Amino acid sequence: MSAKKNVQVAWEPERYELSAEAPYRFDLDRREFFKFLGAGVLVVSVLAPVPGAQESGAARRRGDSLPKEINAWLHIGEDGKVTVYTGKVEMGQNIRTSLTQAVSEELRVPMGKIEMVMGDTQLTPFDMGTFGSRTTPTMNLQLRKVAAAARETLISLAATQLGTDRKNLVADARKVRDLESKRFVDYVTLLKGQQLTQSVAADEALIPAANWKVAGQSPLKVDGREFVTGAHRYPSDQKLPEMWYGQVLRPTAFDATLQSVDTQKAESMGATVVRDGNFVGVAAPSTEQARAAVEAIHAEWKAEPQPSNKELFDYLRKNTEEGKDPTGDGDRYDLGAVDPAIAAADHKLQQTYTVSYIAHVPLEPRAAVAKWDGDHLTVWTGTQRPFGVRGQLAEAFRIPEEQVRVLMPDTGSAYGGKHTGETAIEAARLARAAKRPVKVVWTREEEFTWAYFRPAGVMDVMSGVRADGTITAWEFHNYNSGSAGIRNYYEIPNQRIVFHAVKSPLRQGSYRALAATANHFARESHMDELAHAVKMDPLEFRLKNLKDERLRAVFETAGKKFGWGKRDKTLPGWGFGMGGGYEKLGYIATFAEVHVDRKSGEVKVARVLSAFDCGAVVNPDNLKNQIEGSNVQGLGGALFEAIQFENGKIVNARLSEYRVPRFSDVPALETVLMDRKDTPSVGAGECPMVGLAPAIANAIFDAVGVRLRGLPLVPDGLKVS
Amino acid sequence: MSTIHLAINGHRYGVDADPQTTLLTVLREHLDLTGTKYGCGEGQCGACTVLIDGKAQRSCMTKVGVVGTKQITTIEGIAHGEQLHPVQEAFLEVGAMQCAYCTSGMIISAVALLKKNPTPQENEIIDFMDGNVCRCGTYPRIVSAIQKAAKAMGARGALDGSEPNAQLLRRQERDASRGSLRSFAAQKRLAQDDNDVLTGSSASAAKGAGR
Repeated sequence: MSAKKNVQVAWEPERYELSAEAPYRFDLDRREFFKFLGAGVLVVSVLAPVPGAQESGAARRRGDSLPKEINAWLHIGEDGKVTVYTGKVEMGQNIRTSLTQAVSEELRVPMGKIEMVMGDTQLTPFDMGTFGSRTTPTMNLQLRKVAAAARETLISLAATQLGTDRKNLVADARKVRDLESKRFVDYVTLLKGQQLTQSVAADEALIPAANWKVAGQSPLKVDGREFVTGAHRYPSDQKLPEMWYGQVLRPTAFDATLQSVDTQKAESMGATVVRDGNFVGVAAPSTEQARAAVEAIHAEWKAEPQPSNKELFDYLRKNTEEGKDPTGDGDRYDLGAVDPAIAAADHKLQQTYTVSYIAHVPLEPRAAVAKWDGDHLTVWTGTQRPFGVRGQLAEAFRIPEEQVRVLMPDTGSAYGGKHTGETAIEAARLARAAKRPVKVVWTREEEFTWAYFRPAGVMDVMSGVRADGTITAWEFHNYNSGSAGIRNYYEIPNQRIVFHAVKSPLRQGSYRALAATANHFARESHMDELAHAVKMDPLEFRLKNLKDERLRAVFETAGKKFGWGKRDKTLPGWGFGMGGGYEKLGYIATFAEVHVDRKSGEVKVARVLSAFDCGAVVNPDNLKNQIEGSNVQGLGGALFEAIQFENGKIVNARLSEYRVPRFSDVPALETVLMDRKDTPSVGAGECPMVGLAPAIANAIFDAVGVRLRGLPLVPDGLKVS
Repeated sequence: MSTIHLAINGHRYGVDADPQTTLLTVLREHLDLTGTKYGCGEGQCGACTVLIDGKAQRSCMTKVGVVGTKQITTIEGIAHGEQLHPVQEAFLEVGAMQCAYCTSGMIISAVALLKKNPTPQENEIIDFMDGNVCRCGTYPRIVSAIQKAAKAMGARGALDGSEPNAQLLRRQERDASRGSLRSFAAQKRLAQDDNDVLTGSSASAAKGAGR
C-alpha cells in the first residue's frame, strides 16, 4: 500500500471543485426495498435535468444536466409511518423542516408523522452535495412530486376500496374522503398488505403555492427540542465503545515535506503512532494523552518560501493560469465592441477592487469518527458532500465505495467550508492502525489553517457612460475569486468580461456566495462611482440601466421601504448606500445606513434593509432567519475579516486574532419578502449576502467622501483626514 | 492522575483525570455530557459556557482541578424533566438558532444573565452576551428570545429560572431516593468506597445523593 499516495489524495487541491458524479447507477430492486422498509407504498423520484447551475462543478459544463438518478424516495409503511430518504444534509439551513413541510403539504400528513433520513450513503440515494442554494429549487420540488405521487396512489387505492370514481376523492389528514358519500378510508387501512412501487410522473399534480396550508407557513424547527436541551449529537459529539482520540502532527508550513521523524517517545506513552508518507498522527485513550503524544514527536520539515498577504494582489495578477476555469462559468464573455465605445463615452472610469481571503469559521470545527469492521469502513462526519467523502475514503484506502458508509449527523454549520473529508481520512487512517474506532476533532487553529479559504481576488473594471446616464461600455476582469455572478444584469451594449484563473497561494474553495460577493462588490461599487460621475441619484442611475423586471422590483421596493427618497443627507458622519443583484436564481437589493465617527475612526453599520425575491416562499420565518444571517455573516467579510498569511503559515489562526461579527456589531435588520407565488421557489442561503458589502462601501462614501475599494473595508477603522 | 469529585446537574461524579485537564474535556470525554461544545479553546466564543455556582464560566478555560465542590450546571441540567427552562422555551419559539451549535452556550449565558438581572434592557443583553459567537448570525433572534424568557420568568415570579441548580439538586435527590437515576458511562469510574458519590446503576448507593 502506497502511503504517500494516500496522503496526497487527502490534500489534493482540486478536491473541493465538486466534480463528483454518480459513481454508479442505483439499481432499484423492489424486493430489496420492501425487505428493508417493510410493506407499504414506495415512491421514487428520478431526477430529470433541471434548469440553473451549481456554483461550480462538472455538471454545468454538460449543459446543466445532472445524472439521471433516483434522487429521493419516500416510503409509507403499513403502520402509516412516512419516511423520506434524501442525500441532502442539514447544517443550519433548516431544510429538515422545510423539506418536511413540502412532504406534509402534498401527502396531507402532519409534519410530526414524517421522518427525514438525510445524508447517509447507505440509506439515502446518491446526491452530489448540499451547496449552491440547490435544495429548495431541486430537492424541495422533487419531494413535493414524490409526496404528490404517493397521495395519488393512495387515492387510487381508495377508489377501488370505496368503489367510487377517483375524481370524487380528496386526501386530507391521512384519510381519503369521498366528497359525495362522505365516506372515508384512512391511509393505514389502504396500505394493509400492499407492496406498491410508483415512480414520479413528469406532470405530477402539485398543490399550487396559493393554496398551501403547511408549506408557506413557519412551523418551529422539527427537532428544535434536541438542540435547546443539548441532546443532539453533532459529528464531534459522536462516541463509540472503545473509541480513542486522534491528533495529527501538522507540518510547519503549507506544502512542507517530512525530512525526519522520531516517534519513539510518543510510542512509549502508550499511543498508537502512524507514520505514513507525510502523514504523522497518533491515537490515544483521551485527547489529553493524544496531545501529549503528538507533542512528544520530534520532526523535521522542509518548506519552500511562500508569498504573504502583503503582496497578495500583485501576486494574483502575476500568476494567472490562462485557459483554466475552476468555477465553471466560462472564461470570457464578449458583446459588441468595447474599445470604441469606451473611446466615444462622455465619461470613462477605470478602477480596481479587491477582496481578501476569508475563513468560514464554522463554530463546529471539522470532526469525524471512523470505525473499521474488517475491510468495511463507517465514518460519521460533518460534510456537505457525504457521497464525495465516501469517494475520497474509497480512493485513499483503495477499497470499493460499497465498503464505505458515510453518515452526516446534523452539523454545526459549514457555509461552503465542509466539502472535503480531511478529518474522515485522518480518523480512518488512525482507526485502522489502532484497531478500534477513532475520533478526530480539529482545533480552531487547525480549522483556520488546514481547511480552505474563500478565494481572494482582484477586479479591474473599465466603463464608459453617456452624460445622460446610459452605460455604453463595460470591461471587467476578475483575477482568481471566481466567475459566479460575473455577468451583468445591467443592459450594456458593449461588454468584455474575463475571468482569470490564478495559481492561488492558499488552498481555496467554496464559500457561501463565493465569487458572487466579490463580483457584486466590484460591480455595485463601480455603479455608485458612475452615478456620481454623471451626477445622478444612484437608485435612479441603476433603474435607468436595468430592464429585468424582478430585479427592478426589489430595488424599487427596498428603496421605498428604506425611505431612500426621504433620507437626511445633512447629518454629518451619516451615509446611505445600496447594492444588489441576481445570484443563485434569486434577486436581492440591500440598502444600508452607516455612521462614521471621524474622531475615533469607528464605522458602525446602523441599519440594513433587504428586499429579496426567491419565488414562492416555503417558510417565511426561516427565510427571514437566512436573510438576517447572510447580512450578519456578510458584515464580517465586508468590514473586518481577512486571513493574514506569511511563508506558508496563517498568522491569525485564532478567534482572538480573527474578528467575526458579534452581538454588538449587528445593525437594525429589516427584511422584505417579495413572495412571488406565481414563480418557483429557489434557494436563499447565499443570494441575500451579495448586496451588503457594496451597500456599506457606498454608504461610507456618502458619509465621508472616502471611496473604499477593498474588502474588508475597515479592518482597522477609517482614517478620515 | 487522581480522582476528582464534581457536582454536576445535581449528580456527584468521580473522575480520574489530571487536575490540569479542562472542565470542557472532562464533561465531554469523561462524562459524555456533550451538550457543552468546543468552539475555540481560548474563551472567545462562549460555546463551552457552563454555570459554576450560578455564574457563566468558559469551561475550556477552567481547569477541572480548581472547581472543587462548586455546583456545575450544563445545558443538560436546566430543564426540569420534560419541562423546559423558560430560556429554552423562548429559543425554540423565537427560532433563535440555525445550526444551533452555539445554542447551549447562548442559553446557559442567558440563564446567568437573567439570574443577575431579571429585566435586562436590550443594550444590557448585548453587553452581557457579546462574548458568545453565533456564526450563523442569529443574534437579533437571540436578543428577542432572552427578552421573551425574561417576561415569561417575570410572569412566573422568577421561580423556575432563578435557582435552577438548587432546585434541580432537590428534585434529583427525590428522584435518586426513588432509584430512578439515569446511568452514565462515566459512573463506572466512580470510587466504590465513597458514599458521597452516586452510582446511578445501583439504587441502594443513591442514598447519599446531593450531599
